[in-house]
Amino acid sequence: MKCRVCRDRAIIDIRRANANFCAEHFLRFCRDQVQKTIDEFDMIAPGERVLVAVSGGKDSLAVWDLLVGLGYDADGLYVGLGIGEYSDDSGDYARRFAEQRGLRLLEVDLREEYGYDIPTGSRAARRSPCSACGTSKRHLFDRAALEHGYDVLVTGHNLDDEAAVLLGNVLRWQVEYLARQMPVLPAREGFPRKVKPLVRLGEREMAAYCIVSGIDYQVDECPMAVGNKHLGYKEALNELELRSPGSKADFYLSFLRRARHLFAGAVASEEGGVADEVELGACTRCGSPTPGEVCAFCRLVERATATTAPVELTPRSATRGAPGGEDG
Amino acid sequence: MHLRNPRREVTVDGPMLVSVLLDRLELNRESVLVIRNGEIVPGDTKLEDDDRIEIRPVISGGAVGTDPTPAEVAPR
Repeated sequence: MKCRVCRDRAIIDIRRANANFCAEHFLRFCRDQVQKTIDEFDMIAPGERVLVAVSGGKDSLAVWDLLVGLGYDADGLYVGLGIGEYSDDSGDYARRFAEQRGLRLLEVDLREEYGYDIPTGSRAARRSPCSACGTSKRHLFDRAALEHGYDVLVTGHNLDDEAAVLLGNVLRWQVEYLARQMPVLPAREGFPRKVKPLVRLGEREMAAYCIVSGIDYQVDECPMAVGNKHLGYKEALNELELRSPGSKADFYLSFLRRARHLFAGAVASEEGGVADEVELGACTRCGSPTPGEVCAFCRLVERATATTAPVELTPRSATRGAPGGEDG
Repeated sequence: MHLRNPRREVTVDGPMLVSVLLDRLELNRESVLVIRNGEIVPGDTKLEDDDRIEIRPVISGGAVGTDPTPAEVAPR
Protein backbone atom coordinates (compact mmCIF):
# COMPACT_ATOMS: atom_id res chain seq x y z
CA MET A 1 0.00 0.00 0.00
CA LYS A 2 1.53 3.31 -1.12
CA CYS A 3 1.12 6.87 0.11
CA ARG A 4 -1.16 8.83 -2.19
CA VAL A 5 1.20 11.80 -2.10
CA CYS A 6 4.77 10.44 -2.22
CA ARG A 7 4.31 6.75 -3.10
CA ASP A 8 6.33 5.77 -0.02
CA ARG A 9 5.07 2.97 2.23
CA ALA A 10 1.66 3.86 3.68
CA ILE A 11 0.89 3.38 7.35
CA ILE A 12 -2.84 4.07 7.25
CA ASP A 13 -5.71 3.76 4.84
CA ILE A 14 -8.59 6.22 5.06
CA ARG A 15 -11.27 4.55 3.07
CA ARG A 16 -13.79 7.38 3.11
CA ALA A 17 -11.18 9.57 1.38
CA ASN A 18 -10.04 6.69 -0.83
CA ALA A 19 -6.53 7.52 0.31
CA ASN A 20 -3.49 5.94 1.94
CA PHE A 21 -0.81 8.02 3.64
CA CYS A 22 2.72 7.62 4.94
CA ALA A 23 3.38 9.05 8.42
CA GLU A 24 4.51 12.46 7.18
CA HIS A 25 1.62 13.00 4.81
CA PHE A 26 -0.90 11.61 7.25
CA LEU A 27 0.11 14.29 9.76
CA ARG A 28 -0.16 16.90 7.03
CA PHE A 29 -3.63 15.55 6.12
CA CYS A 30 -4.73 15.98 9.75
CA ARG A 31 -3.36 19.53 9.97
CA ASP A 32 -5.00 20.47 6.67
CA GLN A 33 -8.37 19.10 7.78
CA VAL A 34 -8.23 21.03 11.05
CA GLN A 35 -7.20 24.28 9.38
CA LYS A 36 -9.92 23.83 6.77
CA THR A 37 -12.51 23.33 9.51
CA ILE A 38 -11.31 26.35 11.49
CA ASP A 39 -11.44 28.53 8.38
CA GLU A 40 -14.74 27.22 7.05
CA PHE A 41 -16.59 27.84 10.28
CA ASP A 42 -14.69 30.95 11.44
CA MET A 43 -13.71 29.15 14.62
CA ILE A 44 -10.59 31.02 15.70
CA ALA A 45 -9.32 34.37 14.51
CA PRO A 46 -5.60 35.15 14.39
CA GLY A 47 -4.28 36.28 17.75
CA GLU A 48 -7.18 34.95 19.80
CA ARG A 49 -6.47 33.15 23.08
CA VAL A 50 -7.59 29.54 23.04
CA LEU A 51 -8.43 27.23 25.93
CA VAL A 52 -8.50 23.51 25.13
CA ALA A 53 -10.63 21.19 27.28
CA VAL A 54 -8.15 18.40 28.02
CA SER A 55 -9.05 14.95 29.32
CA GLY A 56 -5.77 13.11 28.78
CA GLY A 57 -7.36 11.10 25.97
CA LYS A 58 -6.36 11.02 22.33
CA ASP A 59 -8.76 13.62 20.96
CA SER A 60 -8.08 16.46 23.37
CA LEU A 61 -4.32 15.97 23.32
CA ALA A 62 -4.33 15.69 19.53
CA VAL A 63 -6.36 18.85 19.02
CA TRP A 64 -4.12 20.74 21.45
CA ASP A 65 -1.04 19.53 19.59
CA LEU A 66 -2.56 20.39 16.22
CA LEU A 67 -3.57 23.89 17.27
CA VAL A 68 -0.15 24.68 18.70
CA GLY A 69 1.43 23.26 15.55
CA LEU A 70 -0.76 25.51 13.43
CA GLY A 71 0.43 28.53 15.41
CA TYR A 72 -2.50 29.16 17.73
CA ASP A 73 -2.00 30.44 21.26
CA ALA A 74 -3.56 27.52 23.13
CA ASP A 75 -3.54 26.59 26.81
CA GLY A 76 -5.21 23.52 28.33
CA LEU A 77 -7.66 22.91 31.16
CA TYR A 78 -7.90 19.55 32.90
CA VAL A 79 -10.77 18.72 35.27
CA GLY A 80 -10.02 16.03 37.86
CA LEU A 81 -13.19 13.95 38.03
CA GLY A 82 -12.11 11.60 40.82
CA ILE A 83 -12.85 8.39 38.91
CA GLY A 84 -10.20 6.42 40.79
CA GLU A 85 -7.09 5.22 39.00
CA TYR A 86 -8.58 6.19 35.64
CA SER A 87 -8.64 9.87 36.58
CA ASP A 88 -5.23 9.68 38.25
CA ASP A 89 -3.72 8.29 35.06
CA SER A 90 -5.63 10.71 32.81
CA GLY A 91 -4.31 13.68 34.74
CA ASP A 92 -0.79 12.32 34.47
CA TYR A 93 -1.09 12.02 30.69
CA ALA A 94 -2.33 15.61 30.43
CA ARG A 95 0.42 16.96 32.70
CA ARG A 96 3.17 15.06 30.92
CA PHE A 97 1.96 16.29 27.54
CA ALA A 98 1.99 19.89 28.73
CA GLU A 99 5.35 19.61 30.51
CA GLN A 100 7.10 17.99 27.56
CA ARG A 101 5.95 20.76 25.25
CA GLY A 102 6.23 23.68 27.64
CA LEU A 103 2.50 24.37 27.47
CA ARG A 104 0.33 25.84 30.18
CA LEU A 105 -2.18 23.48 31.80
CA LEU A 106 -4.80 24.81 34.19
CA GLU A 107 -6.41 22.36 36.58
CA VAL A 108 -9.62 22.04 38.54
CA ASP A 109 -10.19 19.16 40.97
CA LEU A 110 -13.83 18.38 41.74
CA ARG A 111 -13.13 16.75 45.08
CA GLU A 112 -10.73 19.40 46.32
CA GLU A 113 -12.66 22.41 45.12
CA TYR A 114 -16.30 21.34 45.15
CA GLY A 115 -16.38 18.44 47.61
CA TYR A 116 -17.51 15.61 45.36
CA ASP A 117 -16.27 13.27 42.68
CA ILE A 118 -18.20 11.75 39.81
CA PRO A 119 -18.72 8.22 41.22
CA THR A 120 -19.98 9.27 44.66
CA GLY A 121 -21.55 12.51 43.52
CA SER A 122 -23.60 11.00 40.74
CA ARG A 123 -24.87 8.34 43.10
CA ALA A 124 -25.81 10.84 45.78
CA ALA A 125 -27.46 13.11 43.22
CA ARG A 126 -29.19 10.15 41.53
CA ARG A 127 -27.74 11.14 38.20
CA SER A 128 -26.00 8.89 35.71
CA PRO A 129 -22.21 9.28 35.91
CA CYS A 130 -22.06 10.58 32.32
CA SER A 131 -24.77 13.14 33.04
CA ALA A 132 -23.06 14.39 36.20
CA CYS A 133 -19.73 14.45 34.41
CA GLY A 134 -21.13 16.41 31.45
CA THR A 135 -22.83 18.99 33.67
CA SER A 136 -19.67 19.43 35.74
CA LYS A 137 -17.32 19.78 32.78
CA ARG A 138 -19.58 22.17 30.85
CA HIS A 139 -19.83 24.49 33.82
CA LEU A 140 -16.16 24.40 34.74
CA PHE A 141 -14.86 24.77 31.19
CA ASP A 142 -17.19 27.71 30.50
CA ARG A 143 -16.30 29.39 33.74
CA ALA A 144 -12.56 28.96 33.41
CA ALA A 145 -12.59 30.27 29.83
CA LEU A 146 -14.45 33.41 30.89
CA GLU A 147 -12.56 33.99 34.13
CA HIS A 148 -9.19 33.76 32.47
CA GLY A 149 -10.07 35.83 29.46
CA TYR A 150 -9.91 33.22 26.72
CA ASP A 151 -11.63 34.06 23.46
CA VAL A 152 -12.61 30.54 22.56
CA LEU A 153 -13.04 27.14 24.19
CA VAL A 154 -11.94 24.16 22.08
CA THR A 155 -13.11 20.61 22.58
CA GLY A 156 -11.80 17.44 20.98
CA HIS A 157 -15.09 16.21 19.54
CA ASN A 158 -14.34 14.28 16.38
CA LEU A 159 -16.41 13.08 13.44
CA ASP A 160 -17.41 9.88 15.23
CA ASP A 161 -18.56 11.80 18.30
CA GLU A 162 -20.67 14.18 16.27
CA ALA A 163 -22.14 11.47 14.05
CA ALA A 164 -23.08 9.42 17.12
CA VAL A 165 -24.72 12.40 18.79
CA LEU A 166 -26.58 13.16 15.57
CA LEU A 167 -27.82 9.58 15.35
CA GLY A 168 -29.05 9.72 18.93
CA ASN A 169 -30.82 13.02 18.31
CA VAL A 170 -32.43 11.77 15.10
CA LEU A 171 -33.62 8.55 16.71
CA ARG A 172 -35.61 10.64 19.18
CA TRP A 173 -36.22 13.62 16.85
CA GLN A 174 -34.86 15.95 19.47
CA VAL A 175 -35.21 19.05 17.32
CA GLU A 176 -33.89 21.43 19.95
CA TYR A 177 -30.64 19.47 20.08
CA LEU A 178 -30.48 19.11 16.29
CA ALA A 179 -30.77 22.87 15.93
CA ARG A 180 -27.75 23.39 18.14
CA GLN A 181 -25.56 20.63 16.81
CA MET A 182 -22.97 22.86 15.20
CA PRO A 183 -19.18 22.83 15.19
CA VAL A 184 -19.31 26.41 16.50
CA LEU A 185 -21.48 27.79 19.27
CA PRO A 186 -21.09 31.57 19.31
CA ALA A 187 -20.21 33.37 22.53
CA ARG A 188 -23.17 34.67 24.48
CA GLU A 189 -23.66 36.35 27.81
CA GLY A 190 -22.04 34.02 30.33
CA PHE A 191 -20.85 31.52 27.75
CA PRO A 192 -17.62 31.49 25.74
CA ARG A 193 -17.49 30.64 22.05
CA LYS A 194 -17.12 26.85 21.74
CA VAL A 195 -15.59 25.16 18.74
CA LYS A 196 -14.82 21.64 17.53
CA PRO A 197 -11.95 21.67 15.06
CA LEU A 198 -11.80 17.85 14.74
CA VAL A 199 -15.20 17.29 13.18
CA ARG A 200 -13.68 16.29 9.84
CA LEU A 201 -11.41 13.66 11.43
CA GLY A 202 -12.47 10.29 12.77
CA GLU A 203 -11.52 8.57 16.01
CA ARG A 204 -9.27 6.12 14.23
CA GLU A 205 -7.37 8.99 12.68
CA MET A 206 -7.00 10.76 16.02
CA ALA A 207 -5.59 7.66 17.66
CA ALA A 208 -3.23 7.26 14.70
CA TYR A 209 -2.24 10.93 14.93
CA CYS A 210 -1.21 10.45 18.56
CA ILE A 211 0.78 7.30 17.87
CA VAL A 212 2.59 8.81 14.89
CA SER A 213 3.26 12.05 16.78
CA GLY A 214 4.54 10.28 19.88
CA ILE A 215 1.69 11.50 22.07
CA ASP A 216 1.15 9.17 25.02
CA TYR A 217 -2.53 9.18 25.93
CA GLN A 218 -5.10 7.45 28.10
CA VAL A 219 -6.13 4.45 26.01
CA ASP A 220 -8.40 2.82 28.56
CA GLU A 221 -12.08 3.64 28.39
CA CYS A 222 -13.70 5.47 31.27
CA PRO A 223 -15.01 2.69 33.56
CA MET A 224 -18.20 4.67 34.14
CA ALA A 225 -18.99 4.98 30.42
CA VAL A 226 -18.92 1.29 29.58
CA GLY A 227 -22.14 0.22 27.88
CA ASN A 228 -23.59 3.69 27.48
CA LYS A 229 -25.81 4.61 24.53
CA HIS A 230 -23.24 6.85 22.92
CA LEU A 231 -20.79 3.97 22.54
CA GLY A 232 -23.56 1.83 21.10
CA TYR A 233 -24.31 4.45 18.46
CA LYS A 234 -20.65 4.60 17.51
CA GLU A 235 -20.50 0.84 17.09
CA ALA A 236 -23.63 0.90 14.94
CA LEU A 237 -22.20 3.64 12.74
CA ASN A 238 -18.93 1.76 12.36
CA GLU A 239 -20.87 -1.25 11.10
CA LEU A 240 -22.36 1.00 8.43
CA GLU A 241 -18.95 2.51 7.69
CA LEU A 242 -17.45 -0.93 7.20
CA ARG A 243 -19.98 -1.70 4.48
CA SER A 244 -20.16 1.78 3.02
CA PRO A 245 -17.05 3.90 3.63
CA GLY A 246 -17.87 7.56 4.01
CA SER A 247 -21.25 6.99 5.64
CA LYS A 248 -20.35 8.77 8.87
CA ALA A 249 -18.92 11.81 7.12
CA ASP A 250 -21.89 12.00 4.75
CA PHE A 251 -24.34 11.65 7.61
CA TYR A 252 -22.85 14.44 9.71
CA LEU A 253 -21.41 16.86 7.17
CA SER A 254 -24.49 16.64 4.94
CA PHE A 255 -26.62 17.36 7.98
CA LEU A 256 -24.65 20.55 8.54
CA ARG A 257 -24.90 21.58 4.89
CA ARG A 258 -28.41 20.52 4.03
CA ALA A 259 -30.58 19.83 7.04
CA ARG A 260 -29.61 21.66 10.21
CA HIS A 261 -31.12 24.94 9.08
CA LEU A 262 -34.47 23.21 8.72
CA PHE A 263 -34.47 22.34 12.39
CA ALA A 264 -33.12 25.73 13.37
CA GLY A 265 -36.19 27.34 11.80
CA ALA A 266 -38.57 24.92 13.43
CA VAL A 267 -36.98 25.42 16.80
CA ALA A 268 -37.00 29.17 16.46
CA SER A 269 -40.76 29.17 16.12
CA GLU A 270 -41.18 26.66 18.91
CA GLU A 271 -38.82 28.55 21.10
CA GLY A 272 -40.43 31.87 20.47
CA GLY A 273 -42.78 31.11 23.30
CA VAL A 274 -40.01 29.84 25.49
CA ALA A 275 -37.99 32.96 24.86
CA ASP A 276 -40.86 35.09 26.03
CA GLU A 277 -41.34 33.05 29.14
CA VAL A 278 -37.79 32.29 30.22
CA GLU A 279 -35.11 34.80 30.87
CA LEU A 280 -31.62 33.94 31.93
CA GLY A 281 -30.65 35.32 35.27
CA ALA A 282 -27.60 34.84 37.42
CA CYS A 283 -27.35 31.73 39.58
CA THR A 284 -27.68 32.82 43.19
CA ARG A 285 -24.80 30.52 44.16
CA CYS A 286 -22.17 31.04 41.51
CA GLY A 287 -23.43 33.78 39.24
CA SER A 288 -23.56 31.65 36.07
CA PRO A 289 -26.43 32.17 33.61
CA THR A 290 -29.45 30.03 34.40
CA PRO A 291 -33.15 30.04 33.62
CA GLY A 292 -33.85 29.23 37.29
CA GLU A 293 -32.67 30.47 40.64
CA VAL A 294 -29.85 27.95 40.91
CA CYS A 295 -27.90 26.62 37.93
CA ALA A 296 -27.68 22.93 37.02
CA PHE A 297 -24.11 22.67 38.29
CA CYS A 298 -24.85 24.16 41.70
CA ARG A 299 -27.90 21.93 42.05
CA LEU A 300 -25.68 18.96 41.27
CA VAL A 301 -23.07 20.09 43.80
CA GLU A 302 -25.73 20.56 46.44
CA ARG A 303 -27.17 17.08 45.95
CA ALA A 304 -23.80 15.42 45.44
CA THR A 305 -22.45 16.80 48.69
CA ALA A 306 -25.60 16.40 50.76
CA THR A 307 -24.31 13.22 52.38
CA THR A 308 -20.67 14.22 52.51
CA ALA A 309 -18.81 17.15 53.96
CA PRO A 310 -20.66 20.44 53.43
CA VAL A 311 -19.18 22.68 50.79
CA GLU A 312 -19.24 26.44 50.75
CA LEU A 313 -20.80 27.32 47.43
CA THR A 314 -19.98 30.95 47.35
CA PRO A 315 -18.54 32.18 44.07
CA ARG A 316 -14.87 31.42 43.84
CA SER A 317 -12.09 30.89 41.39
CA ALA A 318 -12.83 27.97 39.10
CA THR A 319 -9.20 27.10 38.55
CA ARG A 320 -6.01 26.80 40.47
CA GLY A 321 -2.46 27.16 39.39
CA ALA A 322 -3.44 29.87 36.96
CA PRO A 323 -2.24 33.40 37.48
CA GLY A 324 -4.73 36.07 36.59
CA GLY A 325 -7.83 34.21 37.81
CA GLU A 326 -10.62 36.18 39.37
CA ASP A 327 -12.62 35.34 42.40
CA GLY A 328 -16.29 35.97 42.16
CA MET B 1 -0.59 -10.55 20.39
CA HIS B 2 -1.78 -7.95 22.84
CA LEU B 3 -5.35 -6.65 22.78
CA ARG B 4 -6.67 -3.78 24.85
CA ASN B 5 -10.05 -2.92 26.38
CA PRO B 6 -10.34 -5.40 27.89
CA ARG B 7 -6.67 -6.21 28.13
CA ARG B 8 -5.88 -9.73 27.02
CA GLU B 9 -3.22 -11.70 25.22
CA VAL B 10 -3.93 -14.11 22.39
CA THR B 11 -1.59 -16.13 20.21
CA VAL B 12 -2.23 -16.47 16.49
CA ASP B 13 -0.06 -18.36 14.05
CA GLY B 14 1.44 -16.34 11.20
CA PRO B 15 2.04 -15.29 8.59
CA MET B 16 -1.26 -13.50 8.18
CA LEU B 17 -2.54 -10.28 6.67
CA VAL B 18 -3.79 -7.62 9.08
CA SER B 19 -7.18 -7.63 7.39
CA VAL B 20 -7.47 -11.41 7.77
CA LEU B 21 -6.44 -11.21 11.42
CA LEU B 22 -9.14 -8.64 12.17
CA ASP B 23 -11.74 -10.76 10.38
CA ARG B 24 -10.67 -13.81 12.33
CA LEU B 25 -10.94 -11.92 15.61
CA GLU B 26 -14.28 -10.46 14.44
CA LEU B 27 -13.01 -6.92 14.95
CA ASN B 28 -14.28 -3.98 12.90
CA ARG B 29 -11.33 -2.31 11.14
CA GLU B 30 -13.01 1.04 11.70
CA SER B 31 -12.82 0.56 15.45
CA VAL B 32 -9.19 -0.45 15.95
CA LEU B 33 -5.60 0.26 14.94
CA VAL B 34 -3.08 -2.51 14.49
CA ILE B 35 0.37 -1.65 15.82
CA ARG B 36 3.36 -3.82 14.94
CA ASN B 37 6.53 -3.31 16.94
CA GLY B 38 5.37 0.20 17.81
CA GLU B 39 4.27 1.28 14.32
CA ILE B 40 0.80 1.44 12.79
CA VAL B 41 0.32 -0.94 9.88
CA PRO B 42 -2.47 -0.96 7.25
CA GLY B 43 -4.72 -3.86 6.28
CA ASP B 44 -2.50 -5.32 3.55
CA THR B 45 0.51 -5.82 5.85
CA LYS B 46 1.69 -9.38 6.36
CA LEU B 47 2.29 -10.20 10.02
CA GLU B 48 4.94 -12.75 10.93
CA ASP B 49 5.15 -15.16 13.84
CA ASP B 50 7.73 -13.16 15.75
CA ASP B 51 5.96 -9.79 15.42
CA ARG B 52 4.72 -8.12 18.57
CA ILE B 53 1.24 -6.90 17.74
CA GLU B 54 -1.05 -4.60 19.66
CA ILE B 55 -4.64 -4.17 18.56
CA ARG B 56 -5.76 -0.88 20.04
CA PRO B 57 -9.42 0.16 20.18
CA VAL B 58 -10.06 3.74 19.12
CA ILE B 59 -13.62 4.23 20.30
CA SER B 60 -14.15 6.32 23.39
CA GLY B 61 -17.30 7.67 24.90
CA GLY B 62 -18.98 8.92 27.99
CA ALA B 63 -20.13 12.38 28.88
CA VAL B 64 -20.55 14.02 25.52
CA GLY B 65 -18.45 17.11 25.79
CA THR B 66 -19.44 20.62 26.45
CA ASP B 67 -22.54 21.17 24.36
CA PRO B 68 -25.15 22.85 26.49
CA THR B 69 -28.46 21.15 26.91
CA PRO B 70 -31.51 23.24 26.04
CA ALA B 71 -32.26 23.68 29.72
CA GLU B 72 -28.86 25.19 30.33
CA VAL B 73 -28.87 27.87 27.68
CA ALA B 74 -31.08 30.75 26.90
CA PRO B 75 -33.18 30.61 23.75
CA ARG B 76 -31.39 32.17 20.86
